[in-house]
Amino acid sequence: MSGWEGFRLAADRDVIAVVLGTAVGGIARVLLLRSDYRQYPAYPHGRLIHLSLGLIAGALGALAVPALMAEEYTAITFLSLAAQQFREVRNMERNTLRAVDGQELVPRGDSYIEGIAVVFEGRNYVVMLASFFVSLLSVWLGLWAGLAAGAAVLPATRLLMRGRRGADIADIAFAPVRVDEAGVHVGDIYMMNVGLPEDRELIVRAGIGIVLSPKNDDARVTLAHGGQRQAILYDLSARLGVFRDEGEPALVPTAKLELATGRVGVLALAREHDMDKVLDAVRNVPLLEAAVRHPVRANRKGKESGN
Amino acid sequence: MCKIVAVVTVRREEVSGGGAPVFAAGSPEAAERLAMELEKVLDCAASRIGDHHFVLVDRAPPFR
Repeated sequence: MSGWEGFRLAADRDVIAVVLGTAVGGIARVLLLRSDYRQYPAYPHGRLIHLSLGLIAGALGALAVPALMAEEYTAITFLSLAAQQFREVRNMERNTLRAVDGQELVPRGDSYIEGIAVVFEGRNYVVMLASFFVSLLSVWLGLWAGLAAGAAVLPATRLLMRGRRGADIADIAFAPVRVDEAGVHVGDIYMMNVGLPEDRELIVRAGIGIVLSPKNDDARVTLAHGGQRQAILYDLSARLGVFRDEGEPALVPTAKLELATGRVGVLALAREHDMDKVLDAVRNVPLLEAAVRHPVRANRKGKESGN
Repeated sequence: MCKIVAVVTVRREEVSGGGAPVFAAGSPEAAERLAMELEKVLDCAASRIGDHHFVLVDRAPPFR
C-alpha cells in the first residue's frame, strides 16, 4: 500500500466518522425537539435555530475524535467554544420566554422558564456527547460499529432527557369546588375569598378542583414550591384553555397549600371539562429543577456521618 | 402582598382610616353592585369582609 493510499483510507475513516457522528447528533436533536401542548418552540424560526445549533453541536462532537487521533489537542478548545454558545442558547430561551410570559393569562413563572432554558442548553450537550460516542466507535471499530452505536444512542438520549413528572411524587384526585359564604374551597382546602356572588357562580361552573397529595416528605417540599405550583397551573391552562380575561380579577386559577398536611388544592378555571385530559396534564407536569429537593435523604446522610 | 384599592361598605361608621377611598352604599344589594362595577373598572378582585364590607384588592401576580 502506498503512502497516498493509506492516507486516503485514514481520511475516509475519519470522514465516515464525522459524517456519521454529525448525522446521529442531528437526528438526536430532532428527536429531542418536541413541539407539544406547551407550544414551545412551535414557532418555525425557533425550530430552525435549535436544529441548526443541534447540527453544529453534533459536528463538533464528531470532529473532536479524528482531531484527537491526529494529535491535534488544541481542537479541544473548540468544545469550550461550543459550551459558550450553548450557554447563550439558555440565555436566549430565558429572555424570549420571559418576554412572552408577561402577556400570558396564566404565566409560566420564572422557575418554569428557568427549567425550560436549562433543558434547552442540556440537550445540546447530550447531542454533542452522542455524536462524540458514535464518532469514536466508528473511528475505532469501523462503519458498522458506528451505525450500531448510533442506533443505541438515539433512544438513550430520549431517556436521559426525560426528567421526572408530577405523577411520580403525588397522588392526584378530583375534589368538588364549593362555596362557603365568600370562601371558595376545593374539597376541604380553602382557596380564596371571592366577594361577588356572580364571580362565585362562575368559579363553581368553570372550576375544576384537584387535590394533590404528596407521596412522601421530599414530595411535600417540592409541591410546596411556588414555582412548581405555577407550572401545574400553566400546564393545565395550556391544555384545557383558561376561563379568564383581563379585567376579571376574581377569576384566577390558584394552587393553595393545606399547611397541616402538605396537600395542594388546585382550582383550575378551564374551558374544557375533560377529566381524562385534566388528569393527564397534572400527571405529566415536569418537576422543576428549582423545586426538587431531598431533605429527607440529606438529613439521613447527616445522621449517618454523625453530624 | 395585597393592596387595598377601594372599600365598599353599607356601614360607613365601621370603616375608618385613610389610604383608600370608601364608597358608602345604601343597601347590601347596592353595595354588591358597586363592588362589581369597581372590580371591573379597577381590575382588582372584590373580597367580602364580614357581612357589610367589600375591599377591592390589587393582587400582584402570585409567582413571577
